[in-house]
Amino acid sequence: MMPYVLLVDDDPITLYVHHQMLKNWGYTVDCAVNGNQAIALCLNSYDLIFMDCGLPDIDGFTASKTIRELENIHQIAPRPIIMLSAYTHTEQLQAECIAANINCFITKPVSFEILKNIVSDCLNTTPIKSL
Amino acid sequence: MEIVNLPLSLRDLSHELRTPLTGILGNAVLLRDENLTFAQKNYVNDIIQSGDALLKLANRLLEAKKLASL
Repeated sequence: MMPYVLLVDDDPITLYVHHQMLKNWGYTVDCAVNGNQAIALCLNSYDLIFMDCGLPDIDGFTASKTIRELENIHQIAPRPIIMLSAYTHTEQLQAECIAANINCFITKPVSFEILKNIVSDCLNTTPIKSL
Repeated sequence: MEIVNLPLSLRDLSHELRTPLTGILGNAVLLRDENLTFAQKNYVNDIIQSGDALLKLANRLLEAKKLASL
């Protein structure tokens, strides 16, 4: 079974690029353009969630926290959440990732090779590796 | 040029550069994997190389910010 992935980004071009790339790798991809859409979709049987940081309604950290709560309520094992952000990694962002149970923080643009390695790491790791 | 008078902080500027660069580099890499002629491949590689140079600039802006805050 190829991975089933939720991709969250409000920038249409970024969404297209990452969607196309994941499709080329054979993944099945759903897209969400804001945090509430991501939350509405999150109970689907995704293997992996890509979350943008700055979204128009709620930020990616808040959306991730809600997704974690919903996983808990519905007794779904937490899926890896990879934050793809145009911001560079800082201690503050790292702390927010830990608070929201986000597994990994990547700064955009990311080379496809690096992303592919991180994705396969995340999918092969059970239980989920903390930051 | 006085950094304090920039309308955006350097951190924001770096962020604002990264979003279009994701589009430029991402699409160029997707295009590179298509069936291109030799000349077309060279054009695409030039786009990628130029995009990488801009990305390095975005990173250097952040370094400049760190230095300025020392």
